[in-house]
Amino acid sequence: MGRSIDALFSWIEKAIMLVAYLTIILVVGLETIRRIITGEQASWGPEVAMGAFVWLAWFGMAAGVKSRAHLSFTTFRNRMPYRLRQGMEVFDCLLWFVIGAVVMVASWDVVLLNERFNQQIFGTDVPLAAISIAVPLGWAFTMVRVFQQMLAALKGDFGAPEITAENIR
Amino acid sequence: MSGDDLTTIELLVDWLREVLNVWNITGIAVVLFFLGTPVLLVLAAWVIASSYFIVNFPLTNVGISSSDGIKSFIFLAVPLFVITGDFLTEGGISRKLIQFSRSIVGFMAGATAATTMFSCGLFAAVSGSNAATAATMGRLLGPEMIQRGISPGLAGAIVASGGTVGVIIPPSVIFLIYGVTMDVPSVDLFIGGMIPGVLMVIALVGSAVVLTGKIEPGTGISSFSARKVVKTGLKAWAGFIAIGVIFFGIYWGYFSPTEAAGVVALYCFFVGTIPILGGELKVRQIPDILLNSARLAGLLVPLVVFSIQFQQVSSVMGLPEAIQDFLGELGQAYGPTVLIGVMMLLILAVGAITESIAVVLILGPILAPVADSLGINPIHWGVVFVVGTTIGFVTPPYGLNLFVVSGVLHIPYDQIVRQIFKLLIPLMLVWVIVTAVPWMSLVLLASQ
Repeated sequence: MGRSIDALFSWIEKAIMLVAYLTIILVVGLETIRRIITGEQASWGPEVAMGAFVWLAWFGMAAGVKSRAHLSFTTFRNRMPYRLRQGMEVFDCLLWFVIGAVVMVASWDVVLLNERFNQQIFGTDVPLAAISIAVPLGWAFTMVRVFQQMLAALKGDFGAPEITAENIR
Repeated sequence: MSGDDLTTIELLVDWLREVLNVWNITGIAVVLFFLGTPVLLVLAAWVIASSYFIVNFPLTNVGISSSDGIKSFIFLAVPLFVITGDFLTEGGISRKLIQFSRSIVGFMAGATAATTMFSCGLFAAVSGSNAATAATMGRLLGPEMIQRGISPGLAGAIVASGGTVGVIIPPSVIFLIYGVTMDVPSVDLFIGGMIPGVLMVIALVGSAVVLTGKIEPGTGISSFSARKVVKTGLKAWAGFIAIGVIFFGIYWGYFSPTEAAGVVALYCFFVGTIPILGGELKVRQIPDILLNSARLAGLLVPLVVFSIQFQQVSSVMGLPEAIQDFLGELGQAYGPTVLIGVMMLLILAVGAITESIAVVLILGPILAPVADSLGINPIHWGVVFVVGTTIGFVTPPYGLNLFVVSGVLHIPYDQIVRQIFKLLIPLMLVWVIVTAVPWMSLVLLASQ
C-alpha cells in the first residue's frame, strides 16, 4: 500500500516536471525561432513558460526532499551521535511541516484571490489560478515526502544526502 | 479546537513576540545551519519568524512571492542553460570540445590538467553554471588526470577551480540572477564578464602547468600541430555553433539571454540526437536528463524565492541600512581601498559558507549601494561581486564545487580541501586585478 502510494506520487511528480520542462523549452525556443523567421510571436508565450516554471520549481522541490538533495552543511550532522542526529532529522521534518503549513495557507489565499477577481493568464482564457495553484500543490507533495522522511528517520534511516553530478549543478 | 487551546496558543505567540528579536532569530538560524538543517529551511524559518514576530509583515507575502517571485522571464534562462549543458554532454559534443582543447594545450607540461582548465572555459561558454562545468569536466577528465599520476586531491581541486569560470564566461546563471535582483542589465554583465573570464582561464591553465608539469612533462611546442587544431575544431563544429549563437545572438541583440538559451537548448537537443550529425544522445535518455535538471530547479528556485523575501523583511527592519552605515563609516575612517577590501572579504567569507545564489540575493543589495556611493560603475561592481562569489564556490568550509567534485570523482572532501589553496591564489590574484582595472569589465561595453 505504502509503496504503491509512493510510486503514484513519484509518477505524478515526474509527469508534472517533464511536462513543465518541455513546455519551457518548446515555448521559449520555438517562439523565438518563429519571431526571427516571421517577425511574429504569441503574446501568451512568456506567461505560459513562466507558469510552467512555477510548476517545475515547486514539484522539483518535492523531488529534492525525496532524494535528500536540498543543500545543507553536513560536516557536523554526519559526525553526531545516533540519538542527537535522529533528533535533528525529526526536528528538520517538524520545521518543514510548520513552514509548509504557513506557505500552503498563504499561497491558497493567492489562488482564491485570482479566482475571485477572475484573473486570466495573459493572452489566454485560462484562469491565472492554474499557475498559482502549483505552489500549495507542490508544497503538499513536499509534505508527503517530508512525512516519509520522518518515518525513515524514526527508524534510523538517515540516507546521507547525495552530492553527485546528477543532483547538484 | 477548544477555547483553552486557543488561549494557550495565543499565550505562546505573545510570549514568543516578547522573547524573540532579530538577533536571537538570526542566532538560532546560524546554529541550525551549522547543525545541518537545509539552507532552504533555515532561510524560510528566518523569514517567517521575523515577518510574524518582529516586523508584523503580512504572511500573505510568502504566498505571493512563491509564484510571483519566480515569474521572471530572465530567470527562465536558468533551467534552459542547465539543460543545454546536459544535452551538450550526453550528445557527445562536450567530448569533442575537450579534444579540441587538447589539440591546443596538449603540448604543454601538465597537458591533461591544462586541457581540463581550457575545456572548462569552452564548456562555460555554453553552460551557465559553475557546478555543471565542474561536474561535467570532472566526469570526463578527472579519472584521466588521476591515471596520469596526479594525486586525487589535486585532480579534484583542479576540476573544482576550473568550474569557477562557468559563471564568469557568459552565459551565466549568477549574472542573470544578479541582474534581476539588482536591476542591472544581464546582457551588460555577460559582456563585462568576458575578459575577466578569459583571464581566469589563462591563470588556471598556467597554474595547471606549474602544479602538474613535473608529473606530466610536456612534449614541447614542436609537437603542436595547427592541422590537428583545425581537424578537432571542425569535429567540434556543433559546440562552436552553440557558442556562436549565444555569443553573437546576445551581443548583437538578436536574442535576450532567455531566448538564446531556449534556441540553443533546442539546437543541442536536435544535434545531439541525430546520429548523422555525430549525435550520441538517445531519445529514451531524454526524460531522465530532464528530470535530473528539474531537480536542480527544485533546489535553487525555492532558495531564490525565500532570499527575495529575506531581502524584503530585512529592508523593513533596516538591516541593509545599518550595514551600509557601518561600511560608510569604515570608508570615511580608512579610505575607499580598505572599504573595497572589506567588502571583498565579506563576499568571500559569505561565499565560503553558503551557496552563490544566496550570496547574490543576501549581500548583493547591501553592497551595491555602497559601491555606487564610491563611484564604482554598477556593471564593474557586478562583475567583481560575481567573481568573488565564484571564488567562494571553491573556498572551504562550504565551497559547493568541492562537494560536487568530491561526489563526482569519489575523492574524500578533505583531500580536495588540502589542495585547493594552491589554486585559490591565482584566482584571488585575478580577482584583485579585475577589481583594480575597471577597463577589463567595461571596455567591450564601450565598444558596443
